[in-house]
Amino acid sequence: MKKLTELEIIESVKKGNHGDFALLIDIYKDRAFTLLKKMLKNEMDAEEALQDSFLKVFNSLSDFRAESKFSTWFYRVVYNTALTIISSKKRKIIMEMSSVDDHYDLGDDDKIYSETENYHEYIFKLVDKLPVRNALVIILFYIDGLSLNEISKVLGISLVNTKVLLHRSRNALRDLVFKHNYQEVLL
Amino acid sequence: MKNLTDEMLNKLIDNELNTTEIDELHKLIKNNDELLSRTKAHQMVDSVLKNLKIENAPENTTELIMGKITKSILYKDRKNGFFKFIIGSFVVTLFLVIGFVFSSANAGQENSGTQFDGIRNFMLEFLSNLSIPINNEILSIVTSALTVIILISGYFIVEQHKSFKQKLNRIL
Repeated sequence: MKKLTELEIIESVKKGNHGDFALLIDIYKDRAFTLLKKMLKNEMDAEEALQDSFLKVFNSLSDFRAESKFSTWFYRVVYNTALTIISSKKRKIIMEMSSVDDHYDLGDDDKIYSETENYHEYIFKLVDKLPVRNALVIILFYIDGLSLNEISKVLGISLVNTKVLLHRSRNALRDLVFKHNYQEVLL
Repeated sequence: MKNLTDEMLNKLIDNELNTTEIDELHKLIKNNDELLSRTKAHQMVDSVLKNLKIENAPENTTELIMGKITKSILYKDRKNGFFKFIIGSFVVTLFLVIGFVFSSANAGQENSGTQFDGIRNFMLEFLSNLSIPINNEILSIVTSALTVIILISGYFIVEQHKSFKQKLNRIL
């Protein structure tokens, strides 16, 4: 069976082959779920938001004109869906997302350090401790392979601020890796 | 490049340094163990992040979402179909009533005592107010038009039903 490209799937769904939308779900469900879980910090909410996001994407697929990458448009929908849930539940996360310039502290990393067996695990756990928007930039950049320009469109912030978020996140993680001399493994 | 800044380290990772800058950076870290360690730590973070784990969505996610989509499509179609059916029925009924009134008027027969008398009298009064001259020729034209409209409506209802069934098969 011929493997359809993303755009071919979208065109097929637009023509009325609604069953092909399942192919798009299979491509994006895990990555979108990772993003939502990071934003909502709750598995149940992430599942609900994931379903809502795909329904919104399906219902407004006719509006997608392929002027931008589908992934950028898709993650924008996912991001906005999560924001709606956050604002409805008035979580403290919204405070964390208010400003790029907010100072943040990764807290008691010694506890994480003592609980982890290797530097991979240590860094993964630290990513969970990052402020939401910083973590989102990391996920979209490293997991989804979006460019900084695309990430800025998804998050609705400037390119400069997106770059600042990525660099600060890396710097913060590096400082902790350096603190525990994990880099010695590479030397 | 006299000092190794965070910006430089990020540029190094993002391959944004030119060859001259890379050479200078190598010279700097070659003579300074701490700078070398910081650079390695930065590269380590980047390398680990590239292998960041994707969390798996629950197993039946695709089926759940497709189920919801199917439901929403069927609901929309039913809603549209029902609306069209109501409008169609209303129009057909209206034409039938008018046709009945015309035919009764043309026959010129007394139908006193039938239950349609009230409607017929009301319609005749209404039409006479509009000063529409009614004769056999007009009546034939109206009746023919009504027949055509009913046939066309029937055709569209059948076609709509067919397309709905096709859509249902495509989804399922």
